[in-house]
Amino acid sequence: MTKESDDSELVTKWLSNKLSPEELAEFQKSSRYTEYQKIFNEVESWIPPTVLTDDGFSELIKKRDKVKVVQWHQRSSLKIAASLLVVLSLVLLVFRNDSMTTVATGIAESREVLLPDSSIVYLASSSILSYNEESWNHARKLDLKGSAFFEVEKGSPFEVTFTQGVVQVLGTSFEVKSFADYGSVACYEGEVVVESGETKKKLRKGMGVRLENEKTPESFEFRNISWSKDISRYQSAPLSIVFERLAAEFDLEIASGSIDLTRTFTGAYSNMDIVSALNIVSSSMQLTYKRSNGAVTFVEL
Amino acid sequence: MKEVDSVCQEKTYHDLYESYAGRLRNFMYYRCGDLDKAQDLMHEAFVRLWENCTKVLVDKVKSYLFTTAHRLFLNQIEHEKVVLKFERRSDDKNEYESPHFLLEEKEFKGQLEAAISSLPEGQRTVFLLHKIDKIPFQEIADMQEISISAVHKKMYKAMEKLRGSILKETKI
Repeated sequence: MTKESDDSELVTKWLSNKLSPEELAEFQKSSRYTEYQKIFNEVESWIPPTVLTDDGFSELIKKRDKVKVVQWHQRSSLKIAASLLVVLSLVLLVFRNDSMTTVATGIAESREVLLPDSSIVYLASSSILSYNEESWNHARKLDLKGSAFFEVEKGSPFEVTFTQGVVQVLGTSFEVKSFADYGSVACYEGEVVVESGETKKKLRKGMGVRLENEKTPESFEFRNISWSKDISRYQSAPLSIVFERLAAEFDLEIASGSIDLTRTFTGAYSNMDIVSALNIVSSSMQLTYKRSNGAVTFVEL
Repeated sequence: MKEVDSVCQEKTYHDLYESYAGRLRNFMYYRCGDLDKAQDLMHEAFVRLWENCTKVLVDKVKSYLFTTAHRLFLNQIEHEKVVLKFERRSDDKNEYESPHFLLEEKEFKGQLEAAISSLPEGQRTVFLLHKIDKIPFQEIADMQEISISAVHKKMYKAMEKLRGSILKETKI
C-alpha cells in the first residue's frame, strides 16, 4: 500500500466515524488534523449569498401556472407501443436464429443486458444486440446496431462488431454508437482497440474516435468521464444522427426542412426530458422548433 | 386516515417550499456558481413537483426535489468556470478582534473561496453540502444517486486539495 492510499483510508474512516478511540486520539495530534480544522472552522461560519425572500415563492407560482401539462398521457401510450414493438422484434429474431441470442429495443425503450460472464450492456433505444450464448465461453463476440454502453468483466478478448468496424477489449467500459453512415467509440475506462477498414486505433480513458463513411477516422477527447444511461452525449456528431436519435428516444416525427444536416453537434442532454433535450439541441445549433404531440419541426433561427 | 396531506394542496406546496427551497438552491449554487441559474433550477424542480403532485407522496418530496434538480443540472450543456462567494453568519463574534487579525481572516476567506471554486464540481458540491448545509454523507449520496463511498472519496479529495492550496499560500 502506498502512503497516499493509507491516508485516504484513514481520513475516510474518520469521516465515517469508524476510527477507534486510540486511532482518533493519534489522528488528532497530526498537523493534517489541525489544518483540516482550520479550513472547517472557516467554512462553517459561511452562508451562501442572499437569503430567500417571499418573492421567490410568488415568482415560482407565476412560472408554475404558465406551464402547460402535455407529457403524461402521451408517455404511457408510447410505453405500451414501445414494449409491444420489443416483444414483436424479440419473437421474430429469436425464431429466426436458434443459437443466437438477440436483444432489441424499441422506440423510447432502453435495456440492461446481462451477458453470460456478467459483463453488462446498456442498450439504448432502437438498437439491436446479438451474440452466441453457446460459444460465449470460447469467444466473447457481439454484433451491435445502434447505441450501447459496455461494462466488460476481465477475461478473454471481448469483441464488438458494428457497421463501421470492430472494437476489441480485455476488461473496461466503453460506448459504441453505430448508425447507417456514422459510428463512434468512446472509452470510459481501461483501454480498447478499434479497427475500421485499414486503420487501427488504441483508445485510453477519455478518448474516442469518430467513424464516418469515406472519411478518415478522427480522434477526439472528452472530459466528462462518467457515463449515464439517462444522458445522450455527442462529440461532433452530424445533426442527421442527433435527430434520428431524438426521434427514437422520444418517439417523435422530426421534420428538418432545409436545415443542413451535415452540421455537427457537440453536447449532452437527458433522454428522460423531451423539452430540455429539444431546447439544448435547438439552442446550440441556432435552431428553433415547433412541437405538436409527436411531431417536431425544426427551422433555422 | 382518509385525509392525507397531498402535494397538490396549495398550503402543503407552500410549506414544502419553505422547508426545501433554500437548501435546494444552495445545492445548485455550489454546482454552478451562479445565483440566478441556481434559483431557476430550484424553481424548475418545484414546477415539476407540481406537475406530478398526484404521484409524489409527501414523505418522498425531498428526494424527488433533489434528484429532479440534479438531473436538470446535468441537462445543461458543459459548464463554465465557477466563482463562488460567501457571506459570514451575522452571529459571528469577531468584533473584538484586532484590525490586523480581521485582515488576515479576510484574506484566508478569499483564499479558501478561490480554492473551493477551483475544485472539480463533484468534490466541491459534496464538501459544501456537508460543511455548510450539514447534510449527512448518506443523504448527499442519495441526492446525487451515487454510493456513499464515492461521496467519502470526493470529500477526502476536496479536503486534500484545499489543505494543499492553503499550505502553499501561507508558507511564505
